[in-house]
Amino acid sequence: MRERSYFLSFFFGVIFGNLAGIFNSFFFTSLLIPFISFNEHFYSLNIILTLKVLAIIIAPILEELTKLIPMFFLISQERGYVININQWIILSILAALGFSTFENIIYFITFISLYKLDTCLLLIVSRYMLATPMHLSSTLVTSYGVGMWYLYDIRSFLTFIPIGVGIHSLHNLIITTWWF
Amino acid sequence: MNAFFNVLLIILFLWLSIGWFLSPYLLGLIGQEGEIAMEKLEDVKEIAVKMGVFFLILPIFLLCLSLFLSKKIKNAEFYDICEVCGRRIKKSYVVCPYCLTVREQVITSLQREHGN
Repeated sequence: MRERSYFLSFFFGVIFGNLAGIFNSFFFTSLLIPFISFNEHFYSLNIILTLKVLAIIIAPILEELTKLIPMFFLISQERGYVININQWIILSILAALGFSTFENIIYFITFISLYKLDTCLLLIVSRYMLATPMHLSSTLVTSYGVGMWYLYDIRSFLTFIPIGVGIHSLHNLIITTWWF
Repeated sequence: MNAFFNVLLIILFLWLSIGWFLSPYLLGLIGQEGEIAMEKLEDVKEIAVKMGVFFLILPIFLLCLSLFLSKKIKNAEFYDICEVCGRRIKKSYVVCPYCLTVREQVITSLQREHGN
């Protein structure tokens, strides 16, 4: 694996983080809200439930799969170079770091328009203490499972995917319970 | 079992666990700034400690699961990556079926196994 791949993995993490964010917003505004608004049964349910569904079920699945795309893309580009499971793990961790860094920057820009700089910095520190390690660890678990399957053809390691998504969902569940 | 995965997993979950233990303190500081109301701080503290403990225990569970799955790997037919074309081939192949490269390391290991 060439050295530039590590940089590219981080960069692709940023790009796909952006795309996942856009898709999340699109899913929320275009699909869930009209569905709840026009359905009599769901009309009584409020917008908070929609947000929770998005944060606990849709976002973790979408984001965990999105963070795997850079590796598959890089491997398809780097044919002829040997890759082992350790390199696979490093690439995925870098993609997750890029993803999380991009998310934190977007949140910082959002916070700075609402609160003072001190509050914004504290919010970003709390994100680096909670959201960043969560993104890295859930990606590590998911990508290790996918890597063992893809590189060594051991399908039993695919059980790591729901565990990784579960870690992400649990985190989002607790955070949404705190705020709403 | 992959040692690199183990070490990374433990480091990241420790980081996450410390984050959960520190989160009530951080949220308390944010609340002191007065811009965001922190009404349920006691509940937050209780949940955060539980999550912190959970993320301390989770790596142990995952390590046990990996050890269990690694036993299956020993029985499974292993694959290797050809150093020239990068395609996946069976580990025992002396010649890559795609690019026809002779795999010297396989020959060496076979020679070692069978005593030249």
